[in-house]
Amino acid sequence: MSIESNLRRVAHLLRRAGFGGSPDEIRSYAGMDFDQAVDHLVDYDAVANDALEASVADLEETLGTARLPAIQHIWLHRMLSTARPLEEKMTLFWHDHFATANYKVGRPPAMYAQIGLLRANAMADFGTLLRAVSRDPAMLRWLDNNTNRKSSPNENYARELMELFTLGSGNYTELDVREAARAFTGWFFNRDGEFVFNRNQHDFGEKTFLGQTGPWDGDDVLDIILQQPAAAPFIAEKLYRFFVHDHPSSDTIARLADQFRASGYSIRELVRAILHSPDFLSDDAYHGVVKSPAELFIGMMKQFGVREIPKSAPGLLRRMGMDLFNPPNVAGWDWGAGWISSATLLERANAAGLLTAQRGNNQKFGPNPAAIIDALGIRTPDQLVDALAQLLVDGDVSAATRAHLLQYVAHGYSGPTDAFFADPQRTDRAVRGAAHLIMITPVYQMA
Amino acid sequence: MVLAAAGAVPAFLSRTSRVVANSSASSPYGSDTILVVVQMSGGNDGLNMVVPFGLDGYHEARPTIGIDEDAVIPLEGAIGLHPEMGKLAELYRSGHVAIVQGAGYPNPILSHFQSMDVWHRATPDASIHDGWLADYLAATAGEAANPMYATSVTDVLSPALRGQGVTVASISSIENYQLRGDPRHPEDDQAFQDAATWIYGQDYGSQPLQSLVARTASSALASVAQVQGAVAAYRGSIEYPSFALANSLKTVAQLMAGNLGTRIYYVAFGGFDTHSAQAATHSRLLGGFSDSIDAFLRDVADQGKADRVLVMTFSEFGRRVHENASLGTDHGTAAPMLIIGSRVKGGLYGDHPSLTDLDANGNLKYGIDFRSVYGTVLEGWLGADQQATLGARYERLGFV
Repeated sequence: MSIESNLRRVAHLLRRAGFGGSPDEIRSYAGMDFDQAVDHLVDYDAVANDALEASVADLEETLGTARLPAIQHIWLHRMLSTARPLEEKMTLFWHDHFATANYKVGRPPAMYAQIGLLRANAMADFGTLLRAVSRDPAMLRWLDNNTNRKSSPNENYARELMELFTLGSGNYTELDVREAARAFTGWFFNRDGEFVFNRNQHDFGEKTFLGQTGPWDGDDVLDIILQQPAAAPFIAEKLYRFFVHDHPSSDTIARLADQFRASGYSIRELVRAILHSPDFLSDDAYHGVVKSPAELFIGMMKQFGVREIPKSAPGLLRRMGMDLFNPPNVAGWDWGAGWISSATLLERANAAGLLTAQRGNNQKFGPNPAAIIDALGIRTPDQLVDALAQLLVDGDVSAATRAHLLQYVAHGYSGPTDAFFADPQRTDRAVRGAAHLIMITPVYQMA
Repeated sequence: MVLAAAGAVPAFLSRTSRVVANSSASSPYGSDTILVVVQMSGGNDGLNMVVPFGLDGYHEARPTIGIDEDAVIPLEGAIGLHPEMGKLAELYRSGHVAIVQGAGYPNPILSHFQSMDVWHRATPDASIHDGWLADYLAATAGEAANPMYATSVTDVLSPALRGQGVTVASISSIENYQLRGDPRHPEDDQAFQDAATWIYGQDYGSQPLQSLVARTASSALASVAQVQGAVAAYRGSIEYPSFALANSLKTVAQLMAGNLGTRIYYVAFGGFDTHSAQAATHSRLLGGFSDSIDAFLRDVADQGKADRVLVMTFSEFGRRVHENASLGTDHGTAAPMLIIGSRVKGGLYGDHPSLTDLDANGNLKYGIDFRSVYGTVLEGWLGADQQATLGARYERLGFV
């Protein structure tokens, strides 16, 4: 399916550069031309987000940040309610990239602070981000740098820094790992959770790292890493795969890497270039990557206008394979096909069902069938199927699927089509059931 | 010592494309044998699990975190088990545990992810190959006949079980392993299930990821009734320890109760990346591991299936011989694999690698290619052709 209409392009953009759009958001972004909409998302510092920050402050006050479910809840709230969707999407990208897990760090406030640091530097230049991450207490604990001493260096941070954070394997040797570890000796944190440079534990001696010899410290190592030709394509390709699809051409990556390097490693300009590229609007990109559980879950809440994160949300995400603040290991989550297993697909389907079957007077979590029918002026079952398909998958359903959905909606009903919604019970079942079915389709699993 | 392997192992061969052959899947132990693969994620410190306490260099290399000689549970000669592994030691003494010492591969990789890939795909040029168990499934065509032929008790499917055209069920929670319709309207459920089955039965040919979703979900829906039936049939009375691996193994035992024709179960547990303050963490993990295996095997025996089950453990690598200054250990190479079951010919297999003649990074030199272990399990236990799965024939070890 291709992206011929602007509405569809904008829905696609909001799925990739955010967590999906509510109908209102899609309408509002569709009011700009597409390139303007991209820049509006990318230059998010100009977008006021005061209401969100105030509500986050309230949640921090009431829930605290001492427990994992609390900080998971607060982050999901941000994803749902932010006026700067790309800020939160980039924060998630960096959380996956610099994957740090509370199961080892054991301090939710430190994890929460790390996410704040990633958010604050999400679009900075990559060197600034690296210098910040290399001093982050949760990271120092996660990769054991707080015990990286002159007398016996601990290689953990040095190795993952090059393999997973900056260069990729094959672009350094075991000797480089050992020398980089020496450079980061004495980079500790104190009892108050603040970075400290412990001179007594730092190895001030000469190191030969990636061919350069000198009395390097951690910042020097980061500088030398960024001089390597492998650094720019490594990050450019990862971001391309995150935003576009999983089969970039080597020419495209080389071009993006050149721009990235030339811009002084500006992440913001790299992301801007990716979102403005023709590839982003190609048929291969459209509905071409698998939604992560966070995108799936926040997306469905936005589609139905749900404003409050339910208490069950962190657990639902965990069972779908994405325990926020607890990536499976330092390589982060396995994206794409890795999200798909029989267990996770049933969890996804059941999470959708939980939402569509939710009832109650306060529509905190769930659709309001009667309101949907009224708002969209739906008179017949086929209008319902088309409206829901539009809302949920930009209308990207085959004729056969549409026919089958219609058959489901109308099963057991033999009256005139325009009297179908006269019965509130029938309306309730039809809207909820059809929405649930569309939400378990393969295309709905795609961003 | 059954086999001194180093020189005898074939060179690292690159695998050719998968041979699809409908080989007979019968072994001397019958055509209904079951393999349970236990993945220990993070790089398990083999030297503090199967402890070479009497070998030269052990205590010198590990003055602080080494296991004291009077705490080790002695097995044979210089080799013993971690003190928390009493249950496993009992199984060893009953002759039900084979320990393959020094299992590894040439030119070892010290990256978690790349080394895990090597073990998952049984080849060094890992990224271009399917998982070794996926290859086994394709070669035996077992999974085509039964969607539960292999089952992963994990939420995310291991790459060992991922391959072209192979669909493996993964079940992390039996309770949630069903497609729920609207609980307010049970009268719609049949229509809902039918519609879902139709949706996943469609051809999404031009969309590979959507096709994967449809195929996986189709297979899930086809196995939901079996899985729920299995739980209903489970009458287990064994108490499992409170430990992640125990939960997974209990789920395996529950599924086994349903007699679903499953030949492969896959479980994983982690926490082994012990770069610092290793002792307490590792003790907890090994104690939990030992107790979980013991509970599981008793449960299996209760079901009358003890003779059909073989457990095989692996980790992506062992750890550095010398402890680091953080009272932990860095990434290493060769490590023991455990093969556990009532039909196993217990004992030590292969010589323990030297603790003083190390490679350039201070790591052990491997003795037995891990694919010899895979090959032995494939041929000797599952009755499969190892050539068809591994693309080469590796020397059989004698544990089955």
